[in-house]
Amino acid sequence: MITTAAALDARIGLLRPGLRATLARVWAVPDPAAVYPEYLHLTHQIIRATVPVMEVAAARSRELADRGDDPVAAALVPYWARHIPEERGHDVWVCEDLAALGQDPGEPWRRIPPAPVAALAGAQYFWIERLHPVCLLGYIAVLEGDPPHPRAAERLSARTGHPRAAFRTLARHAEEDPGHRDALRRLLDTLPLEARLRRAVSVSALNTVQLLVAAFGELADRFTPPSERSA
Amino acid sequence: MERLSLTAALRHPRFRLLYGGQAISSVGDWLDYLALVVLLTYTWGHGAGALAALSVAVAVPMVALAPVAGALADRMSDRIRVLVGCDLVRAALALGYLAAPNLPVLLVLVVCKVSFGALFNPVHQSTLRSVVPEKDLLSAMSLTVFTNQAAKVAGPALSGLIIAGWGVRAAFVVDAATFVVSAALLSAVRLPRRPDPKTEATAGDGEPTGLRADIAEGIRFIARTPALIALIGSVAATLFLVLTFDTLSPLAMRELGVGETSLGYVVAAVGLGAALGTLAISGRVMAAGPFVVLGVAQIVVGAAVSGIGTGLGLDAHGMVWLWMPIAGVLGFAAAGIMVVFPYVLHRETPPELTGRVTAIANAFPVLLQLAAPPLGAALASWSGVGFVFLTAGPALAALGAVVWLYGMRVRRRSPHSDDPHGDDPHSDDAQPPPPPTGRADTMPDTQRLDALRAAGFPVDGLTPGQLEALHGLSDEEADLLISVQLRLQATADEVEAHSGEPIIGGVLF
Repeated sequence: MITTAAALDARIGLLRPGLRATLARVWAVPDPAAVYPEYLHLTHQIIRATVPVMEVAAARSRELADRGDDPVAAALVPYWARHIPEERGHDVWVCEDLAALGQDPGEPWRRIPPAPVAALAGAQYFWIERLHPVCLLGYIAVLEGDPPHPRAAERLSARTGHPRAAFRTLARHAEEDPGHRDALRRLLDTLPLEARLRRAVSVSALNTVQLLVAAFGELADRFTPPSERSA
Repeated sequence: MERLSLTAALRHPRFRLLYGGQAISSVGDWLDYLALVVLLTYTWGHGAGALAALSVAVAVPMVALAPVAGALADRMSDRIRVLVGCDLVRAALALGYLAAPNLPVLLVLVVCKVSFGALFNPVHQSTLRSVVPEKDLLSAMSLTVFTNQAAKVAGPALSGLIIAGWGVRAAFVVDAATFVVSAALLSAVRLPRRPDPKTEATAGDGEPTGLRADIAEGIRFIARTPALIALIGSVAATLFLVLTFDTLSPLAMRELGVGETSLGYVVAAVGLGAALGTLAISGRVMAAGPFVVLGVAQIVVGAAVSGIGTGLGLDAHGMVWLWMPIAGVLGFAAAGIMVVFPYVLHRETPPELTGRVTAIANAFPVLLQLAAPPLGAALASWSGVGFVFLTAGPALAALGAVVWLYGMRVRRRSPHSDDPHGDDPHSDDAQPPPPPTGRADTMPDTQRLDALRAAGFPVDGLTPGQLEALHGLSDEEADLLISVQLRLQATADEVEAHSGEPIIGGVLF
């Protein structure tokens, strides 16, 4: 029997080459040193939503579990309790990386999150409240499912010329995300998910890929001369 | 490819319990029917009117309640409790026959008992998918069909023995006992509890989740799944044709000079052929494709019936030696139809819709059960019994040819048409299958994969395992996949240019 995690991975896997290639476009712009701070700003907009959206999912899971007839929500409660502390403070890492670049670490908080990022997190709030908190697992499966290369920080430092101290967010995620990814897979395979919720998790994941491609594609476009773009 | 073992599904302990319960209560059902007939005709002295009323009492709840029962089956969060409850209520109702003072009360009890059976069957069907992996589904279906056929023989025989030894009332007691034993076996089955649909509706987005919506979803799913339309249509047509001559069979045999004793042998030959046919259906046979198997079975049944019709037309007598093997071949081929029907139903239907889809699909044969025999009788009185056989037989064979052609077309269009699995992606233990259809508003997976291929996904490069993992891709998922793919294609040159670079990543949570 195909497990829930394997089925989800197969669906995300269809788009993974495209997502990776989109990120590769970001790192391959003519001026990678200039794109990196903007990458950090974009990443901060995504990461700042991580803990708040999980807290909303945790509250909704507890609410559904307390009714006594939602085994999926009940199984999610300990997962959120364990995972929220693991993710707390990661937005600060990004600000520290910006500071290491000599930039204002308070700047990300003053920026307006771009529309694809707002849609990314906003869709999760909607699905958590209106469908089921398990939908957030699709979002997490994408964001933690393809960790940065273990030598990503080293390679980008060499490519951009920025100090290694400015790449700690990437380095820490490269180290921690594989464990988080595996824990999520184990959780998915133990949840008594009916087809409707399995589809919902999958739709959440694919929507996440869609918006990430949009967000990082726009970032790559901004730093790619029109003459080098394909359309 | 491994040869499918008939008993492969019995490796799964929960299936063994479900199967045991089903086998015992099937015997009980047939035991019960003969006892009711004896009670009405011999004990109470009723005539044809009462027997007709009994037939209606048995058939009407199946037709009227099947869709609702199917939808209910898909909503049950604790299916085992429902199955056990149905068995216990049926046991009580069977005991209630003992106290029935007259025909109306007895018929009310029969209607109630059949109604609980109408609920039990789709819940049982939907449970099957939870206890048997898809690779053993064919084995599970073959065992179920084999057991039902065996029960048709064993039930009345056992009933006869019990009635002869202890009287008709004892048969009802034994019938009740079979349901209690079935309930005991079923209560040992442990299934993950399904989320309560009421909770899902509360937590959901306000979509209509009533029974009517559920039934409509089942009908929509059938209407949008060509394989199910072809299956249900062809099997319904087959049953209609079979039922026009089935009740005339004793008359036909008499016209052919088959005596009372020999008639028993001919009937037994059909049963034996069906049993052997069920045993003969393997993954290798099904590798030709379920619709190819179904078409060939219909052609063979049609040829056998045409043969009997020809005998009637030629006024052939004293050829019992010929009719027995023909009856055996007829039974053998009929097993193909009986196994393919539930097998394809389960294979093409997502688990959450199994109850309502199987219930709706099975309602058609019961409906035809009411309509076809009078038509056959009318045709026989108009042009003779031989005419009915000579009409139904070629019609069946022609229908089989159409189904066979459809099966060959499906086989050619299958992404696995080069391998021996044909349009049966689940026939090989070693090669995980591509997926069956996903949900109510999905197209068949072959078309879904075609759509992904057309959007530029490297579908043909996926491994069988990856294809299997894409099981039941829904409309929303496919739309999103294609939408992202189209966006990526808008920057295709740049994406292509960077697709071979070392992976750095950078999507963070």
